[in-house]
Amino acid sequence: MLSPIQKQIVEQPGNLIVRASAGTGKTHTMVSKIVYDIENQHSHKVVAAITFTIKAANEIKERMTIDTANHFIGTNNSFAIEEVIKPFMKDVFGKEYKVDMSTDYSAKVNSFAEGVAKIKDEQILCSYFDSKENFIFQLALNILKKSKACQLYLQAKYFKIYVDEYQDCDKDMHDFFMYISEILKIDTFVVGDEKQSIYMWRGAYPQAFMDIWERQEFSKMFMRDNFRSCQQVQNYSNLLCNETRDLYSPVEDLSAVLMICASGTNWVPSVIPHLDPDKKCALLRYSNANAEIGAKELSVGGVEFTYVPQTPIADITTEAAWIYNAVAKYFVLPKYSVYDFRDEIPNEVVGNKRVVNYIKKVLSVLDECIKAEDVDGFSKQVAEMAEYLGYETKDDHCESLYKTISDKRFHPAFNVDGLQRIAITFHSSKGLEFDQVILFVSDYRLSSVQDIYNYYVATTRAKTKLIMVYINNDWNATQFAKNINNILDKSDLKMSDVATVVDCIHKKVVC
Amino acid sequence: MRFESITIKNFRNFEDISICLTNKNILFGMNDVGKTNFLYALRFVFDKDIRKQNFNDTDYYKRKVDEPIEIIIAIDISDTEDENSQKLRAKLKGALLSEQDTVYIKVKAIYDEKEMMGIPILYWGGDLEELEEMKVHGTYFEIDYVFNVIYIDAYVDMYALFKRNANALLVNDKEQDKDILENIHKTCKDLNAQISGLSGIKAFEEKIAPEYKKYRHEEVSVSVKSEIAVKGLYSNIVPYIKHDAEEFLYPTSGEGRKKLLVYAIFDLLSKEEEEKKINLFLIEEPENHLHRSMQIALSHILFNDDKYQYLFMTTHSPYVLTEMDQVNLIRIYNADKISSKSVLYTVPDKFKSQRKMLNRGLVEAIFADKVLLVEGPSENVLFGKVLSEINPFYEADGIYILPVGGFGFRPYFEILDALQIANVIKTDNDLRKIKGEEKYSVLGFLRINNYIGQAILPDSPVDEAGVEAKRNLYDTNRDKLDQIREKHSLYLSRCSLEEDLDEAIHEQLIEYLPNAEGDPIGYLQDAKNNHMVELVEKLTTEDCKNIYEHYNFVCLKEVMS
Repeated sequence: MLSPIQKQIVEQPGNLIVRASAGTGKTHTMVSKIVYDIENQHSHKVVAAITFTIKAANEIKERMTIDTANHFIGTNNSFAIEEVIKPFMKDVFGKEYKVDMSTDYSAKVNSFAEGVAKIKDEQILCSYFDSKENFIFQLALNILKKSKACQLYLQAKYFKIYVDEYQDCDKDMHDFFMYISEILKIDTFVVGDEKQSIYMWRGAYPQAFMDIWERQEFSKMFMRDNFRSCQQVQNYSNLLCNETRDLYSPVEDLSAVLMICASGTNWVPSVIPHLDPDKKCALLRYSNANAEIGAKELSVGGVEFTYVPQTPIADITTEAAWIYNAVAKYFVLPKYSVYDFRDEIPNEVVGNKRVVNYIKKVLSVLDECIKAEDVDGFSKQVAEMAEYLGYETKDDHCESLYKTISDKRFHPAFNVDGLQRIAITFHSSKGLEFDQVILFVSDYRLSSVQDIYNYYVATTRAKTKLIMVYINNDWNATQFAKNINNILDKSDLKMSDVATVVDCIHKKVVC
Repeated sequence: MRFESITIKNFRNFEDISICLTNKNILFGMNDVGKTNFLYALRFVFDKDIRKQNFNDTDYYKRKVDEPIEIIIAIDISDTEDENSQKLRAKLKGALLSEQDTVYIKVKAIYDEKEMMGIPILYWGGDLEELEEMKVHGTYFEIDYVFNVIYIDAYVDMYALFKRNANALLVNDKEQDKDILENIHKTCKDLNAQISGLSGIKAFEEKIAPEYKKYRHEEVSVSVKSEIAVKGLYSNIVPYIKHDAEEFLYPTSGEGRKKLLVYAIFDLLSKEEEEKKINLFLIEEPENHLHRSMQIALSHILFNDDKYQYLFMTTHSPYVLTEMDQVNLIRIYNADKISSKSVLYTVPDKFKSQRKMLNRGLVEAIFADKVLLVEGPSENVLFGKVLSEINPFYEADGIYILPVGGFGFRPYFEILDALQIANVIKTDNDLRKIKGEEKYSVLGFLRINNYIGQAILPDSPVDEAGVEAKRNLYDTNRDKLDQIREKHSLYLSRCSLEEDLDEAIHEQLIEYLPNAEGDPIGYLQDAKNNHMVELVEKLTTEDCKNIYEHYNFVCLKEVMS
């Protein structure tokens, strides 16, 4: 089912930019559009659907109702690497770059030349020390501009390129995608929401998104209807940003958004009475440490919350990352079988029996190693299997995997959907939704654009209830109060017009 | 996208050959010289169903299994806007670099003694020396996502083809089909109930079971059913042909009709693939079972329909080639070992409108081993008679007389030369008056100089015309003309056919052509064809031998040698 604006987006031909506020059905619309475009494309050409995470790419693949085998659905880095750098670097830099490259973003360099040299000498695609510069995309654009063969290849293969979460693109990615759109004239669809840009600290450049919004050759559409959150939560989040402020529509019942003023010691008993125990709930905190403490305090207070930590393997960015993830899931999740493992092998033909048998064998050996607490044997087996599948592992990564599996504290991370109440960082909540959300206003001082965007993302995770905790006498919370009042003032509103303010310091409800 | 060439090494009866290609290619030659094997070489590159059978030791040239089989195809994709070039480029990825316009696709198979077969490995890229190994998923190589091979055998079974593809050809997935299919199912049940009700059927069923039980004692009964209810709807439906004006259905029993229907079915099947892939038609001897007129109709489709953009076809039939143009003629022949010659044949612009006329003689000639090119129908009639008296089977022995008519010799001998088909030219010693001058240009001499590409014969105009002037001119240059006969197989008449013939058998002409009133030359020249036929009917074996042996007609001896 598509809303009128969603239908319009799906059927709009040519270059298109879509601003999609939180909860407006962005992924659903994008998948519908890709399917529509493919079915109406009568040639050999395919699409590239480009996302920021492997998870998002898999979600698109799963939701597609048609055969996607020949289309590119993957992350932006894999697009730049697999479609441009690996095949065409030799065309521009010479035959000595016809090497079997692997990626390791933990390897850092200072300059473009150093990065190029690292490919020749060590066959490693690395990253810059300066996290605001993007070596992969600088290299990809450099090759694309100079290699006629690469340009012709992309033009011969793709009829449209879809880029998801465009607000998270950095400047180098933006230059790359705009070259494809403007110079190669391949139709481009971008979707994003500058309000949800939470990666400015590592180079994300939401201005790029607004830059496309100004371009003549792009049709523009704005999805603002939030289908996720109730009207009051929508109201509250819409008031935070200029472009959605006019969507405010007053409601009678203000029970869905709560501002609870409490002290550092009584916030738990102040919050618990407002929770519906039958509905899912998430505590969102800025830091992992606070999330863990919060979960503990709530659990002690009588409502069980599970802290979902970052796993030791979460930071691995090499090509073999999926192997660590798949092995961990096999040992952590009871329902995850060897066939699920096989399905995660990139580019593997489904039903290859030999591969399945091999994986089966290796996994049973790994099981023995875990039982015998044999870390070395475990690492060796993982390395062997990776090699069999054409990947390379690192010793410390294998140890991280071992730690992930053997330490039960990390297991909830593989089963977030199955948990009723969790505590996580708001960064890892992106793209998720919960019936109830608890957040601490002291995590958002609202003194910078980034801060407002972070706050927007956190509030829009809530479907039916948003509980905000205001810790009295906290300097950050005071800053928040000052800034939120200024923001609400732009619409001539006060906090009490949009939220139920509960004063648990003085034990009274302010209306 | 344009096919450039193919190289076949150590495969079946090809030791090592390279042939230029274009998008439409016709293979011809005697039986058993390897036309089918040539198509197999292509199929090992493009057809996964053939490729997965691997190579046997007998696929290696003279079983030389210590050398690999190699088949390399070169394709030009410099036309970057062309959709088919793009289909190929989209899969080539980094195997093709900037400034490279030719794609090489190579199959290589090293014989594995243990497995007792050669497993084909595919490579491709823009640099023949540094091809990249092609990715393979199961039995699908990357190239199988680009090309779709449509192989049409000379003896394809229409019913089998229809059945095999019934599911693709008959898609009944509309909402209203559901009810109809349900109805058909019911009707079939009724039909079988009715059948079982027949007394003869009943009697048979009752009698047959006891007989069966004599051989094997089982608790069984035998029942007679209509196949449709047992094996499903598609097992039992076949195409019928109905003439628009008539009520009757004709079973498609004639082999010719079936063949045409086969082509029509392949058309439908190829259309399905056309969007995503490049259709490659490999057709073997399409003339089988087709009447001459049907062959000509087929020729029109093959050479005019865009669908057959990429065509490799073997044939023995000149009729199939009637409409040929922009086509690569590949002659495969057997001297000591298999060789081949090919030539790109394009109908010259000035003859475009008369393509069929121009082609008519040529398509016959290319199937011959030796061709005598003559001016026109009179020569054809006379020489045909003489040669058949000398050797009644001269045509079966591969000799063909081709009258060039108004097209001149050049369009014919160029193609024949390129295909290494020996050819002898017999042309007239013409003189033509130069406008406004009392001079005559030496047309026959000029023509010969032109064909040789060298001014061997004097080319300045002469002052007189007429028979004597021609003979004079010939005799003065006879040494040179004899050398030209020897070296270039070019035979100039002393004058023209009739005068030259008169020199050989003057007495007989007078006798056989009473209506000529003593002037047989004038008579023969008057109503060329008819009077020549009148003469030929009367020529004796002796006369023919005399003509055959005469200096003026040595061209006949050469073509028979």
